Amino acid sequence: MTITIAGNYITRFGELWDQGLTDLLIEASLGAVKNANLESSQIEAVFVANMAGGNFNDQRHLNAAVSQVFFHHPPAMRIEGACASGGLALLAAEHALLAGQYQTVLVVGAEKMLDVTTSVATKILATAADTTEEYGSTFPGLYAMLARAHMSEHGTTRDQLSSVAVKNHLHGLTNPYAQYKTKISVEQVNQSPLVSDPLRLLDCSPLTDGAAAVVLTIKRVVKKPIIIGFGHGQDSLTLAGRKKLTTLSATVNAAKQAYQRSTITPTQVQVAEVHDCFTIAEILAIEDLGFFKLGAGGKASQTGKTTHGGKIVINPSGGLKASGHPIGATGIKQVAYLAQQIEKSAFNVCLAHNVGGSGATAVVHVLKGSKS
Amino acid sequence: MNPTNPAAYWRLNKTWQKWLGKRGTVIVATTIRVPAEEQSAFAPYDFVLIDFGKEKHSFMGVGHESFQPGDQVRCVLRKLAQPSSAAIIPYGIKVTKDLCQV
Repeated sequence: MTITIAGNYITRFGELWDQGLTDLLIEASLGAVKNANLESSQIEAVFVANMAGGNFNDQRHLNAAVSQVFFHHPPAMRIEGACASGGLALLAAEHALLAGQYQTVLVVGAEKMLDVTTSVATKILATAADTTEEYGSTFPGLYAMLARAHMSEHGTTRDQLSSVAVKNHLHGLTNPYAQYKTKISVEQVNQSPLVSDPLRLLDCSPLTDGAAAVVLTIKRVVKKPIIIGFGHGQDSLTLAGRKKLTTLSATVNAAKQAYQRSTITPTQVQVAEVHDCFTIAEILAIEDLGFFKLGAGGKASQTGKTTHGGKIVINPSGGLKASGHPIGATGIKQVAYLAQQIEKSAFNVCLAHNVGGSGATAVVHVLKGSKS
Repeated sequence: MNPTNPAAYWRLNKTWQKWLGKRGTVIVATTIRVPAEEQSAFAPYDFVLIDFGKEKHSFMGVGHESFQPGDQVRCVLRKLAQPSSAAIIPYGIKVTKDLCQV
């Protein structure tokens, strides 16, 4: 049984004052259905990804909010796994398709983060950590500790972290949906204000409003990308419970499953959208996904091996760093963006990597172009 | 966990006895300069992952103390969040450098 990405849609990412959370969900949902050349009535179920609409926007019950847009009110559920909400919603949809429950479903994710102040957003995002065991931490703070550990164990440098941000901003210039279309330099990253040592402001992905959606089907659709593998890994919610701080085992396990299902090896992947919520997160990802040896991610980033003309193109959209990170949308946006690249024949074998919190949850998808 | 919530605070303070006076070694630390609103009065402050021998745990560091891997620390009772005039004063466990190593 083959799962085809029949349709995709990504809204603008950024500070979208004129659109509320449900506006974004509706735009992406209807956009993906239209892109799939389907009637709304052909959507049999809806999977909605969102982390914190109840906190950011005082709006919960998002499954119903999306279902009511369709005259036939298809069954809908909301799925939450912090920043991995989108990846998990895709998995839930895929499981339902493969179980034979449905033949065509919509997966939509959104987050509307910029209606609150930065300090309120910081508190909401910190709930992706263990709010008792890691009370007082922040999302950047936990990744800063991972960065410190990686720098200590592998000699990863400040300039290597910065090179990830520089490359992703360069990639974002070509992405019409990207929040930031601004070229930055290593020096600018190195001199930006410290947020949580050693991570600086330009090491961090931004707060973003945005949504993305895909229509998945097991019906035969010609010349559309197909999902050939997926995997799901979990680890301790707390950093204290991890065996190592220099690798995310959730990513390693998710990737292993995805590679096995797809019979693809890391060397066959041409392009990957990875979860670069912070620069160190991209370095961890490209090592844990098997693209580079453990400890070699920083050097690979600095020497141009992760951009066009290198070993593999990482985050052609600009990643979370430049394209933006509307939490619930991100995992779906990665797959939607890669589907668009396949449809444009820019790439053929692609990987999407979505992480929740400081690495407790990871979802990996492998996509491929369909010849027929 | 919101330590200004009385029920959460009650659950939290039952763990104080386990941690107070406990000594450990810093594994890794960061200095948080952009905290959540309820910690804004403490910023910048360190957040520290500590090896207590049989288990690891993360805590905020006291005041503006700066921690490095290998530092010896002990658990003390300090304010965890900025209290509001209407709520309880949210005390809890932080760590300080252990200047009286045994």
